[in-house]
Amino acid sequence: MADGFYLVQVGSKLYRMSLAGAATELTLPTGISIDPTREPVFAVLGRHILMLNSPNRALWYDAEGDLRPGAIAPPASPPRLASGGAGSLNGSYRVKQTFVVKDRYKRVLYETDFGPISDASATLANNSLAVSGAAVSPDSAVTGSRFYRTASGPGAVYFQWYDLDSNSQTAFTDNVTDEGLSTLAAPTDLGLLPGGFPPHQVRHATEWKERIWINTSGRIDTVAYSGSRKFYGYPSANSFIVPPEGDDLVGVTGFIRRRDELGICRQDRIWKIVGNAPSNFNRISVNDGIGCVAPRSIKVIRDVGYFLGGDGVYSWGPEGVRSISDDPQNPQVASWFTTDDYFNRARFPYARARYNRRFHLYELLLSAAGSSNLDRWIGYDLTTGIWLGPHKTAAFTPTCAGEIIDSNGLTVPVFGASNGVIYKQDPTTYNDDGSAVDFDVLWRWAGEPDVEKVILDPTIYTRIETGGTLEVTPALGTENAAFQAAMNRDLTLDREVLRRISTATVPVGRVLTARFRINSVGRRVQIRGLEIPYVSIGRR
Amino acid sequence: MGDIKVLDFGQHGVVLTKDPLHVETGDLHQAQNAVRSKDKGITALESRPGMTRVNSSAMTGGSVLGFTAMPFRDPGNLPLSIYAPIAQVVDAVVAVSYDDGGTWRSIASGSTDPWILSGKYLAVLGYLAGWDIPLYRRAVTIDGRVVYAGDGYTQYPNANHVAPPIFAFDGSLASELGRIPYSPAQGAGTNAYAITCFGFHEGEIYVATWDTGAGGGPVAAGPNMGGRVLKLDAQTGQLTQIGNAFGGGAGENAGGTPVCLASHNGRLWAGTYDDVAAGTGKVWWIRPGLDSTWTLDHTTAASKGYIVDLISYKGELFALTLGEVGTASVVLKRTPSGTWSDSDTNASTAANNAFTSPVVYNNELYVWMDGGTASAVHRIRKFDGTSWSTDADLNALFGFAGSSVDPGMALVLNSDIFIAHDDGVLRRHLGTWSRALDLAGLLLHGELAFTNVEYS
Repeated sequence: MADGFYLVQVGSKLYRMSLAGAATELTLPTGISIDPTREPVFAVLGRHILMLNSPNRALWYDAEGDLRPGAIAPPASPPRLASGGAGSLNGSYRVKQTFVVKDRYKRVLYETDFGPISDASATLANNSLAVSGAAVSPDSAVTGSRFYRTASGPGAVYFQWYDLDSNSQTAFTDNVTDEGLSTLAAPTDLGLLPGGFPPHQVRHATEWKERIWINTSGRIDTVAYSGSRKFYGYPSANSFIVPPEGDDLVGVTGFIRRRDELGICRQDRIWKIVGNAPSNFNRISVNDGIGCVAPRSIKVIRDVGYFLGGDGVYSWGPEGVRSISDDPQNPQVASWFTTDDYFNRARFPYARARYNRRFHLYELLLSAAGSSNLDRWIGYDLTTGIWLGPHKTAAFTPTCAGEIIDSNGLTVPVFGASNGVIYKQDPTTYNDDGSAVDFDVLWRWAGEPDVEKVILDPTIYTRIETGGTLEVTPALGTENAAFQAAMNRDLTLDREVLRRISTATVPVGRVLTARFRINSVGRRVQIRGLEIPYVSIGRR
Repeated sequence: MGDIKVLDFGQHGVVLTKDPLHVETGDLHQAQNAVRSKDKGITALESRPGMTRVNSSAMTGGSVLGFTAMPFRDPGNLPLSIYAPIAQVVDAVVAVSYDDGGTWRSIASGSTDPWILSGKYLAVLGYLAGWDIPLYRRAVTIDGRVVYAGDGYTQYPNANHVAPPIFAFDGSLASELGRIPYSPAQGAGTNAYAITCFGFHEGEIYVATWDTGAGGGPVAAGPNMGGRVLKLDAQTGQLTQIGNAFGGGAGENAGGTPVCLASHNGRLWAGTYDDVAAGTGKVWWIRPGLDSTWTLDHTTAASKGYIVDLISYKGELFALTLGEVGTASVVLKRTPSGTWSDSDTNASTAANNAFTSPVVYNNELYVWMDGGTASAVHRIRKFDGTSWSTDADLNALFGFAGSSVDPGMALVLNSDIFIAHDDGVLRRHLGTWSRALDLAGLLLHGELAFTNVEYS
């Protein structure tokens, strides 16, 4: 498979990491630093990557492997015009200038917004047109300027006229006639990236319909979008207010990028943009009352968006917005999100999501109750609609989540960690980087709940393993009965009958609880079923 | 007596919304590190898979806070190779990959080496016998392929002549990309003699041809040799003539055929060679897609004027020339205002003295001052935008005096400069020049040309 790379932010550093995990620290452009307390937001258009939110100034990584500022200011002053000597031009002209970044093949990779328009030139009479005082960019990434000129008049329309392949030259002379100018008018989709410079940042960004859509810290209730296939051009007219403006201190909380609808979330509301171009983009309300509280919890899987709301996890698909953690038809884990017993709800805005393709799961990384680390994750099975978890690992502290394509070409879910390592799910191992996977499952049964029962010898069916022991710890009595001593189930067997659960000390009970646990390095378990005989004694 | 049969263990996942008295056998209260089994036909709950490191060595600096969602092709990590053709006589190409520390490896047709070229590499040198001017830009690299002028054709006006081919080499296989169409100015039944150079402009490849001499025939007979510039579609091989032809006919650009191309200030520039004694060179420009004719921008002074090469540097255009015996060649500089002037002058006036091999490196312009036949002058000159200085005396370093060195193409790879010449390749590494490849003794027609290609 062809080699590839990922950009990875580690603390205040930026790395380029190969599919095989070889990482090289990148040198940031002069004047640009990364805030280690902020997570990066990446937006990709064509073969250009914008890195936003954590750098103090937008970063741009291009297909040639160059790292440059992602927002470059336009010329600050107008050029001056004069007669350049004998030539073919007659009349008066105006000129305006942009800065450009070209690659080694002289293709334009980036073009800034226009600078101020020049004063009209003196009336030429069979002269060439001389430009002087052209602006020079303070950014060394700029390779030159592009000049646009009116026809004689001066006219009102500007046409592409001259490229100056230098960021130090300030003057040139040219004799191209009006008829020789490009027939294309100057572009109308240029404009500086909002939030590309301090003090504001781009907080949320995504690609949709071949444009970059952004929301900034300077205008929290507004979404702006770029020109078509231009990651660098943001005309001021390309924007939408996301109501209710001024309603809270948070504003837009994220994008849900579906195929033909771009969801824009607030904490308690969802809007969508439909259409294909600025002429027909339309903002439509999706839902009032449900929104997203965690920007990085948003994950679109097969054109359905999943996200964390204030009281649970929701999906947005063709059927609309619905709860998947507290579905009225199938309520399951609402208390994970509505009580403080399981997770630190104050840390919900920091939740991170990933898609586990192997198991077809939406997985959400959260903080355990009382913790400020992202140290627990849960999984929603997209096939069956069930929840499993909370999961944890003893090997590292997760700090972010996502998916990568590994060196074998497989899409695998990963966690980034506080130790600077990215960990991937690996079905060939039963350990987390040498630490045991702590399988710990709690099951209950009551049957006829008011009837006392004697619980006899349980049979547990498992897959045959090469070794290991499953601890089975019963509790019999009420739902809060104390656990008894654990029984060891030999995992080299496919079935094993364990000792009687009812004991002389605890002879009967109404509710049976059982804990199944294995926490040994290199060991795993697959529980296929249980069979537990019992005798009903009756009501007491 | 009853029997709790749980054959759907964990199949409802975690269910916290039911009273403990009302749970079903498939409900769980907790499912830490558990997943539904993916084994076919199995309904079971099992331990989740473990996790391993993607990067075996931790990245320093703190916590991993985020990463891009998809991989990108890594131009910085692909092995880059320099291909240096030796000659079509031995039909071999020598190549090196600088990932392995600078080892040169031979590529020969007919071997089982996977780097076999299906066709001969750069050629046409023999057909240009009699030309004084070096031609070394007959290959370019774009999108991971080397596009070059092929050798396998019978030249016009020989019997059964065919059009010169263009090949593309992807690092393992060479295939024909296209053939130069005949020049309408010369008429059906003719073919171009040779490809003289390739160049880039705004991401497109352009190729210059030498079509005929005045009165026909393969021997150059200037000054109005026929020539054209065509745009090459590197994907389809389609060739489209740009502007009017060069030559002596009506509506043609007189005074020489194009031998070098450069992109500068939004225009495609061509330098010409007219192959006459005390000849001159001309510099033309065109805006492909906008202009239908070339515009003459400069004519050099007599005898020091064949244009060898063009290069854009800091917004100015530099034209490198070849001088007649008794006249020193120069580096000409054109300001953005259109003023041409001599920028550097050769220290030699020997026959075939020239400036060649321009390259921009570390924000400075480097050129080779070639003193010509039997001269002791072989210097690397560099220009910082203000003044010229000598970076290396190649004669002192390598004993080039009296030799016909024939410098060729220069390029920058891995922060080093490489320049090809007829005996090998020189390299500038950390300010020091050395021989990167020594081919002394191999039969050569003349110049080497090489470029770099990236491959997966």
